This record gives sequence, C-alpha cells and structure tokens, in this order.
Amino acid sequence: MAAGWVASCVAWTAATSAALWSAAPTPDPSAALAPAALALSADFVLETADNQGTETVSGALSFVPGGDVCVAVKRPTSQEMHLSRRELVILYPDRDLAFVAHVAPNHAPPMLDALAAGIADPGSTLPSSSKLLERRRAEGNLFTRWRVVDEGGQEMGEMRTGESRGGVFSIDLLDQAGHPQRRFSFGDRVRVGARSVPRTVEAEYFAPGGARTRRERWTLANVIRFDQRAPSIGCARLGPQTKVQELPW
Amino acid sequence: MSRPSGFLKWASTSTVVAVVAGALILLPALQRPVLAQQSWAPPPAGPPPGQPGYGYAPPPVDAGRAAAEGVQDANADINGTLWFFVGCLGIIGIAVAYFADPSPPPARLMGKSSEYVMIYTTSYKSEGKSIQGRHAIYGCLVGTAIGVAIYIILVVAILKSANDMSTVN
Repeated sequence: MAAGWVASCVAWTAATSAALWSAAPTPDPSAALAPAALALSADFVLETADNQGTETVSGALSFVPGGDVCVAVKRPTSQEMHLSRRELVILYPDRDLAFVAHVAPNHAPPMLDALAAGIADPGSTLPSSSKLLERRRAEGNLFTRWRVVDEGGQEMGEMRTGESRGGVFSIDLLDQAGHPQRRFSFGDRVRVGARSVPRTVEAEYFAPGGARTRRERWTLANVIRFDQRAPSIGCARLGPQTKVQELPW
Repeated sequence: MSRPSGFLKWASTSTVVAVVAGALILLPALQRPVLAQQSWAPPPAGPPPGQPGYGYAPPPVDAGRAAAEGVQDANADINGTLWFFVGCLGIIGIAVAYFADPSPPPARLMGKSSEYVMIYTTSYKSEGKSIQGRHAIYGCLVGTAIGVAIYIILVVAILKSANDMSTVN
C-alpha cells in the first residue's frame, strides 16, 4: 500500500517535471507536484484569448491519485480527456469516437501546465544544478530569483517567483536574453488535503522575441478532495463499440 | 607554389558549391509542408439547400483555420534559436531536430471538435518539425561555414609561412 503510494507520487512528480520542462525550452515551473494530496476534483472554466479571439471552455476535472488527470468538457463540445504519462485519450461520447495518442518514452507526458504550475512548489521544479540568485522580502512577500541551469551545465534562463503567506502568487520564466517566456499568476487559494490550490490561474505565453501570443485564464469552483469511491468523471473510458483512431503525438 | 594555391582554390570553390547546393535542395523541402498541401480549389459542395444530407454529418470545421492555428501556435511555441544552436552540432543536431517530435499542449485541444483536433495536431507537429529542422540546418550551415573559414585561414597562414621560409632559404 505504502509502496504503491510512493510509486504513484514519484510517477506523478516525474511526469509533471518532464512535461513542464520539456514543453518549453526555457524554464517552466508547474513541474514537480510534491507527493502529498494530488487528488482533487473541481469544476472549471477556461478562457483563452489569442489573436484569433476569445474562447470559453467549461466542464469538470479531476487529478486522480497516481498522476493521471481526467477532464470532462461540457461546453462548447462534449469531450473527455484522460492524460497519463504514456497516453492521451480524447473521447467524444456523443459520437463514440476516441483519439488515442501514445507518448514515446523519451517524450514529455501531456499535462495541463497552467494548473500544474499553480499546485507545484516552484523550487522543486528546477533542475538540481540551478542556482539561487536572490531571495528578498518586501511588504510581507518573499521574492526569489533562480538561474536555471540544466544537468549539462547549459544555462536555460531565469525563474522569478513571488510568494505570500497564502502561497505562490506569481511565476515568471525568462529566456537568457531576459525576454519573458511564460508568466503564471495565481489568485486566492483553497486548501485541499495537504495542498494549496489556486482558484484562478492566469497563464501568459510569449513568442521567442517576447511578444505575448496567448492568455489562458482558469477558474476553478467546487474544489474538493477526489473521492475514490465515487465514479470518476471524464476519464475517457472506451466501450467495446468505440471507434478508436490514432492521434499522432 | 602554383599547385597548392590551385588546390586551395579548388577546395574552397567545391565547399561553397556543396554548401549552396545542399541548401537549395534541403530548404524548399522544409518550407511549410502543411500549407503546401492546401489547395486553392473550392471546398467540396454539400447537399443542395433544402435537401437532407445522407448519413452522419459531423459538425462543420474550418479545416483551414485549424491548420493555420496549428502552424501559428507551433511558430509561437518552438524556440528557433535553440534549434539553431543544436544544428551547430552538425548532422547529429539535424537528426535530433527531426527525431524530436513537438506536441501541442493538451489545453489547446479542449472543447474542440474531433476534426479540429486531428487537423490542428497534425499541422502543429508538421510545422514544429519543419521549424526545428530548418533552424538546425541554418545552424549547421553557419557552423560549417565558420569551420571552413577557419580552416581556410589556417591553411593560408601555413602556406604563407612555408612560402616565406622557402624564400628565405
């Protein structure tokens, strides 16, 4: 039992770390979610704004013990997504059609990086060879700067975090030239088990030159501890008649 | 002394020709394969107005939009500079660029139709690989050019010093 729990925690930490650090060539937090309390359920609204316009997606999601994430999208298109270390399944229940993407062993696992960034401890997401540049207190908040250095000694950029008594409220990732790559801002937090979960997450994504290309705003409601006895929602369970199609990944 | 100088001329000309020919062959192949597959032909017509279509009709998807967004997001997400430096490693760098498969963030597939997901993912990966490969080749070419330049400078310097020595003797 204990061994299984530890294994699932390790798997989750490895999965989130790999996903977030490989998703962007620059440092990306949202990596290691510490072992405790990785099980939660919530309703969500995701607003995305880019130069194509603004879109809103809503539904419910669960962080399942063991490191998987299940998402039940209700609007605008009914959809279920199951994200695990080695597979991404997208099910369209109305059409009984599923896309299955197999993730290669050397490939980063699929991950909702903005949410993972809000739940993870930013310091634990960094490669071990990273260096602390500055740690200062101002107006009751703690501000930290890290130079991110990968295992090969290659400098990847800088990570800046702001932390209040309630938890981390901002993470900035900059490239070597000092251009922003990603910026995560977190709203007020709610306690779920041993973990503090932000009710709002705003993620801004920047092009290599520093121009903002996309903004995501996640709003979580009814955040509760995941109930293992309740039937899991949105985990894309395939039926015998489900048409399965391979999704290149 | 005419032989070494002739050889040098021949070597540098051959190198330049090889690099330019390689670039001319490889670069067009890397230019946006997804967009290249699109045509200007009008989309296939659906059933006439007022008449029902037969069979299951999936929701309409603007395939062009899905492909364009995949291309655009890949352009925004993939760091060309990084792949340029990877390309400086030479053939190994280019191979890495072609074997490393970029994948779109799953959040971008949420709430999208199946047709959109398939087209977007395919175009994102295709464009991503193209960007990686293109920048790795640029890096390789620049690295090679710098290497060749250094080599030529060294050879000229050696020949010159040998020439000077033979003149003194």
